[in-house]
Amino acid sequence: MEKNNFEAIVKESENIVSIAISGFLDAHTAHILEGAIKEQIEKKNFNIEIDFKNLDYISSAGFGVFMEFIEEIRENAGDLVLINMNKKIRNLFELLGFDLLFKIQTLEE
Amino acid sequence: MPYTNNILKLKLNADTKNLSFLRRSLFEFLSYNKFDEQKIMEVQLVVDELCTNLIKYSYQSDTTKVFEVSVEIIDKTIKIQIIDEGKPFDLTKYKSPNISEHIKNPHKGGLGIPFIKLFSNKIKYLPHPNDPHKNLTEILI
Repeated sequence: MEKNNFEAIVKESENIVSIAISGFLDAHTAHILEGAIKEQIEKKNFNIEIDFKNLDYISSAGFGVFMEFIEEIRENAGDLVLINMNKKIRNLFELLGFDLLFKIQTLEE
Repeated sequence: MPYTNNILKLKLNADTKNLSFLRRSLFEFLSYNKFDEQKIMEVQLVVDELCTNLIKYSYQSDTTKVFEVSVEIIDKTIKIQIIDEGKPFDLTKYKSPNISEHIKNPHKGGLGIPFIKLFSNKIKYLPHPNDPHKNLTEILI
C-alpha cells in the first residue's frame, strides 16, 4: 500500500506566512493543511501564501480548505495567495472557476 | 497488477488512506491504455470523490466495510462501476448547488458531487443486478 504522502511546511516571517504543500491533498490529508491555516488565523496572521510547487494532486477536500478560510482572512484585511501552481492544477482551478476567487501565480515551466 | 489490458478491478476497505493507492492504480492502468494526463486526472478525481462520499457517508468511515471498483475501457469511453453495501445514496437525484454558488458564497464541503457531475458524461445508480443488498453506481467518462 502506498504511503499517504502530504506535507505542509510553515515558514513565518514578519509580514507573511508561507505554507509549502507537497504530495497529495485529498480527504485523507486535508485536515493537515486545515490545521496549519487555522493555527495562523488564531495567531492573527492573515497574510498567507500557499506554495503549490510540489503539490501533485488536489481533490474537492483540498479546495474545501481554501474555501473554508478565504472569507475570514479577507475580512481581516489579509489574503490567501496561491503561488507556484503547476499547469495541471492551474487548469483545474480555471475549469472550476476558482481562479476568479483566488489570487494565483503560476509556476514558470 | 490488478488489471488485464482493458479492465481494472479493485476491492478496498472503506478507509480514506486507500485513496492514494486507488489513484495510483488508476494512473498505471489509464497510462497503459494511452490516456493523456488531463483525462487521467479527471478520472482520478471522479473516482476519488465517489469513493470519499461512499466511505464517509454510506459507510460512516467503518473501515471494516469493503467496496469494489471496476474500470473498463470500451473504445475511447471509460466505464466506472462502484459496488457497495452501504446506506443507499443516489447521486443522480441529489440536487447539489452548482460550483458558481460556491464561488459567490465560499464554504467548506459540498464540492464532491459537483466535481463528479462536471467530469462525467453519464451517471446511473442501480440496484445490483445479482444482489439486492448491494448498490451499483455506474459512470461513463
